[in-house]
Amino acid sequence: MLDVPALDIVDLSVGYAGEDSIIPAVDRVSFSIAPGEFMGLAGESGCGKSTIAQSILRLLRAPGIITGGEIRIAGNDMLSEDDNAVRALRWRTASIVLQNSLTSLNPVKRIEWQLQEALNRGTSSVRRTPAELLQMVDIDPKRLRAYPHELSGGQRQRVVIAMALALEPKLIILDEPTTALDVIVQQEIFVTVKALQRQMGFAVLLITHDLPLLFKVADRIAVMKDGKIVETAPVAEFRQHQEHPYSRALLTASPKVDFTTPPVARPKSVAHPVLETAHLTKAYGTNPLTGRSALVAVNDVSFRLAPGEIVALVGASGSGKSTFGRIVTGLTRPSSGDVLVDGRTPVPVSRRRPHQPRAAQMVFQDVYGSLNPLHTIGHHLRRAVISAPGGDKTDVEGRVAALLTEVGLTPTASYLDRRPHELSGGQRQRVGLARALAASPKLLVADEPVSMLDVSIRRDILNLIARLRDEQGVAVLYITHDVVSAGYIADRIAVMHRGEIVEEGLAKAVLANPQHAYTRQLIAAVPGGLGLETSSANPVPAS
Amino acid sequence: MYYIAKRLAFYVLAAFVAITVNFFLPRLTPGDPASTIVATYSTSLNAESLAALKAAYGLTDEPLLQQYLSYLGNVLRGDFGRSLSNFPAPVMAVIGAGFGWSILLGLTSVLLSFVLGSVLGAIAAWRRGGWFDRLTPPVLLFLGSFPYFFLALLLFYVFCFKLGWFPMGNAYSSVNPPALNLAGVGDILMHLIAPAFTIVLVSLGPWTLNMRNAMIGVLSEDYLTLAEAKGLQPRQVLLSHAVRTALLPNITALGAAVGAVFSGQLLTEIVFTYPGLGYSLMRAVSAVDYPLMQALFLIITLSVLAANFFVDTLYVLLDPRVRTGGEA
Repeated sequence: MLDVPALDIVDLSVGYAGEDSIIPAVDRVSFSIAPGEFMGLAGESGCGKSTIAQSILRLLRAPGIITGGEIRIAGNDMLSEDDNAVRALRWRTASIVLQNSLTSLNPVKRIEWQLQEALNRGTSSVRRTPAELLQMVDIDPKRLRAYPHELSGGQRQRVVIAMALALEPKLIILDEPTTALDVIVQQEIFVTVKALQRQMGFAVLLITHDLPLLFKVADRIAVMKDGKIVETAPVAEFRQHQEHPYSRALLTASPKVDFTTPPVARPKSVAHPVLETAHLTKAYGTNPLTGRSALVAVNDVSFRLAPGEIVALVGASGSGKSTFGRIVTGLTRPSSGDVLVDGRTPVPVSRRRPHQPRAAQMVFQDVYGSLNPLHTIGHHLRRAVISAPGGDKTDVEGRVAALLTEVGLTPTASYLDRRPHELSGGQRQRVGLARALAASPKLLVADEPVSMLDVSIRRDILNLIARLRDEQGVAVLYITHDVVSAGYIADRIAVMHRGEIVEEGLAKAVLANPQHAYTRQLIAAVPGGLGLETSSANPVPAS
Repeated sequence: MYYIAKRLAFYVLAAFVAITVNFFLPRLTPGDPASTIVATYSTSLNAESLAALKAAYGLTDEPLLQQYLSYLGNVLRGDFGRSLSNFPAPVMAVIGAGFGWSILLGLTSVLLSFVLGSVLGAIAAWRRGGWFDRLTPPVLLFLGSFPYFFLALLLFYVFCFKLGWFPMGNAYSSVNPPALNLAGVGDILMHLIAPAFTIVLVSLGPWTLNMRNAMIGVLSEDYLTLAEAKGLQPRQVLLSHAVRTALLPNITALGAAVGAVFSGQLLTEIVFTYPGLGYSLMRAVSAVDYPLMQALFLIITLSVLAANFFVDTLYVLLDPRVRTGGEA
């Protein structure tokens, strides 16, 4: 039995039916996973890695079609059997954990019911209880009666992992299971998965875009590009030497903190900070009688940002960093405290008068949702230029072209008549930046501007933001959960935890020598570390 | 519980506003009916009779506020005055007679079209793009776009008049309501089928389409993929995962539909001379029976509110996410 691989894929080809032809998504891919092995499949969005995950359990929906090849899970042929036989094999031989923990569980059923449903699929010989499953993934069995929305994102993903292990399958497929979660939660989840793997001996196929994460947890890595596997190697070998140029590109694309240059303290023109807040507080659900609040998102934050400075506001989701960004741009009103942007209180959009100066502009995270799909890029930018306060409105086209050039979208004429869906994610974010710059702001508030983008273009966008600062002198408040990119781009870092700024200082100084316990935790959880060569190769072993 | 209390407070307030508007609206229109009637008789009747007439119609010279307060008191006691067309029967007695029949017809038809429509919609979404999905929603919407009375008259002509399968009117055959034995219930059902079927036929389209669209949304959710990956039988995936969540929007619509029962089935009741509130309202209008009309308007409004409150409460039981205050 030991010789039968947990997963064996031979010459798998998958396509999506187009209007009159099948567009290939996966092209003759072969790999196998030994029992108990931890295999990582890395690649960027659209490379076909998730299509493989769906094909393994034959979950691919129309218009997806498996056009050729073989898939065997622990010796069971998944492609030639009929639907009923495949259904019987699912979850018993292999299970899957999907990316979005919020929608992976049925919102109207208690988790006990959902775990029991998976257990009911099992044979009578091994019967665990839902409580045992929860204990397995370190959740208090008291939470059995909870509904999914009552759990945190990390807890929900643990529940799904417990569910995936309910029938003790030979293989579990993890499809970007922690992409939507914070690094600290991600680290904790993989510690649990590795421990359970040692205990139960299942094989893992982890699909991710995050190579440093794979270095920490995987035994073997396969790199995928355009539907093909370009390289497969054991992790130790892969770390030393990457065969394929794309693997090298992928690895070097992720931003690293450069500790070789000493931190330069920018001369702060303290007299006129571009952003200044004093005892800023935003509370939600405040009871008018008792004055107690259900949630204090931002708690007594006093903060300064000098002109031309890039400051990263780092924190986990729910730390209040986005609320802070929304207050600065006038999208949300604070409960108490003062906020001055370029010496003025930010005005909510609804009360803004034309020609009122707009000192702060927002760059959004969701590059898909922040551009109206019905309008052309030219329309978006013309609107922004026309509604911008002051300035010369005689040469709108010239200004639009200048903005496009600034963000590197040249030749500009070729972009004017395109609509957002015709652009890549990186190009869309460049349009977002151009739009924000149209009003000639003093401050850009960039809320996770690269977290939805592929690794290889993240650095380009960050470089662009840094260049805009250098050329235009615009200050940047870079809101992120990613300490590495913060260290890469920012002059200073402010760490936000539960609504408060717990640590603030020069970026490299904070990263090299964190003072607050939470900052240390945040840095330790980064897979692959910060690029500090001083520490050992694998500073925080997860296994 | 806090959520329900909050909703209840809202509905009590809404009911109060409805009652108040119901009082002031007729008084804002110039030449109210009662004074018109009194004026007609003012030359032919002596002062004493005229005073008696005024008292009967509730025409007093008291200040408006005083009138309003006594009106509120009367409403709370369920006293809506006397019907003019069925004089001297109190309005409440007239309404009481029709109320039960309206409820019977309304609930039967709404629940039937809700259940049928949801089932059809679920099947259409499950077999999306199949012949059933391509055929059912357009056909039902086509039927639903007929003028209501036209379809009712057509069906009445074919099934009640020509074929004689169903009785031509009323809710029961005898003069008095039948006893609740097997024959009696059968008789009531026979009278119910034709009008209820008309309403179901016309209202089925939106239910089906809404359910289908909600289902298609739910079917693309990750937990449906996961349910399939778990190797559940398609029936289990459909019933315990997809239908359960897809039903929620339709249940919201159910509140509005139950509330609209009394006003919406007016035409059906008239065509089939079904003795419900709608039929009463028509008779009240043609007989210029203002007290009855006013009471009917109020009853219709209050029943909409009551139905919506019921659905809000039901929603709390069905969707755990609203229990915590709906922040999820």
